[in-house]
Amino acid sequence: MSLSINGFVTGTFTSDGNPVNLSIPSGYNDFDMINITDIGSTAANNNVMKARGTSAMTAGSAYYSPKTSGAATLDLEATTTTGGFTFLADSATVAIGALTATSGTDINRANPAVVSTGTTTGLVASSSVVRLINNVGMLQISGMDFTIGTISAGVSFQLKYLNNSGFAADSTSGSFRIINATDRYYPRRRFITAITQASPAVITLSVTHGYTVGQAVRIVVPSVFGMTQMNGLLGNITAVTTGSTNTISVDIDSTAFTTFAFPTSAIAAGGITFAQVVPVGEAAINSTSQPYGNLLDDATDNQSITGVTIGATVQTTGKIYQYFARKGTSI
Amino acid sequence: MNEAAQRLGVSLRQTEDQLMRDMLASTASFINCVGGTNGDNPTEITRSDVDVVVRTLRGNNAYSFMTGVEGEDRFGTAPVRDAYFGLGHSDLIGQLDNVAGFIQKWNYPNQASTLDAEWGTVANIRFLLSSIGSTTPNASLLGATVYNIFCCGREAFAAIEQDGYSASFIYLPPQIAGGPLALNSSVGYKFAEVPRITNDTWVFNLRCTLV
Repeated sequence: MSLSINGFVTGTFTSDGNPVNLSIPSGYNDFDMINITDIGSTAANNNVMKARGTSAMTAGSAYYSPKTSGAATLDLEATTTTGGFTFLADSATVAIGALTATSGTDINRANPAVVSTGTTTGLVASSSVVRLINNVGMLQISGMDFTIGTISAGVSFQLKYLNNSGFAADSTSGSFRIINATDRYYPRRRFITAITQASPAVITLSVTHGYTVGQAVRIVVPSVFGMTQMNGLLGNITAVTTGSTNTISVDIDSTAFTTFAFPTSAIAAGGITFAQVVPVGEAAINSTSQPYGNLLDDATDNQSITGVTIGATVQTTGKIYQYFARKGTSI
Repeated sequence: MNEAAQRLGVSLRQTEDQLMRDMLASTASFINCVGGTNGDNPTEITRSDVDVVVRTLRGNNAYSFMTGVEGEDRFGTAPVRDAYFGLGHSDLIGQLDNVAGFIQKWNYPNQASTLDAEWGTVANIRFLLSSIGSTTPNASLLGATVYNIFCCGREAFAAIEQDGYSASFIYLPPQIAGGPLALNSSVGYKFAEVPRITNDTWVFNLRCTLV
């Protein structure tokens, strides 16, 4: 005789068209979701209405049903092996992407820099993070991670927060990999791509930073990056930008500091340490009565999840989906 | 049951170590090894790289973990300096042996203060190696795996237990968890804690690749 135990989890999310990671701590055997925005719609589109995956299916697979264009009915069910559901055992340990070569002009000098490649599969604009590898002529950014900007499918993508127009030469060969995992703990150390000579100093970071006003950060600027006066300074974040720019402002006056600039490719070939922002401190509430508060936005927060990655194929931008995750076992 | 409890105890502490490792990998500032000759960035670890970290930690007045081991009149031994810890991956075995001034644990004048995981010492760093040491895949200039060695002084980081909660061992006997026929029992552990750097100038991630 055995005893069966079954679990059930439900919730909703609004699709932005990009892959989304949902936390389902127990995991799942069976996962499906329905579009609750377009019920009864007779609009002329093929929005995804239903999708289903199981734990035994290959990663990225799904059964899914688009809406019939011009009618409030479901079209024939379709299947996919990419862009469907992928079980996520630990979001911090998802394997890194395959090595992909740059091509053509490889990496040009522009603001933002553009990477040319024949393969943009798997990249999501303004979301994916890539790691550059052995980029001849631009070794000063090889080994760094970057959030990408816009994508020209099969042609190129931007390094959204890198202005490398001051570099001495284009990259003539090299590779990149898509970084599918994020570091487990927040806040995270980030690479610096620029620092202004201003008060307050404005620091641009290569990957979407996630910092908040009030956090304290240590700024590490090795001597080959020029602005040596900044190295080791502790600053409080007074403003942040995200989206088209990715900066933090810190309460440091860098007006009289020397210019921040990447070292040459030749210097990097001999070994360098990258410029970094290191989160270190307590959050401060900028009021006299409560200068320091328990905001927890600078606490070391384990943000990794167990759950599922819902791919772009089985969702439609702007639609609300309700999901149902089930798991059963017998003892 | 005793064996299961023993294994769970190891698993508990190893999980704590892994979380601490991941926090340090996410947050600690790093110094790339640049003294090697393998043509990568970072390079393989060398004496000059260890000296940079020791100089930085000492320059920040970090407390050392271990007192020195005084020299004794024994063949093949050498005195060991007071030291910070370097927490790394066991793949670094062999790499460390090639670093100038490396003293293998077994060549310490006496073994009284050595630790199970200890592999040896260079200058003022004593290296503790483990198969769950931190690595970052494909992160070097040439795309090789980068090995993270967390070089730290005493009280540089801590595991902070959450209010009113500590690690607990759980055992439910078959009569409770095993259904009507008492076929199964349940054994496990749970803990709630936050790993946290307490002084960011006392811990550095020395990153290196292999030869």
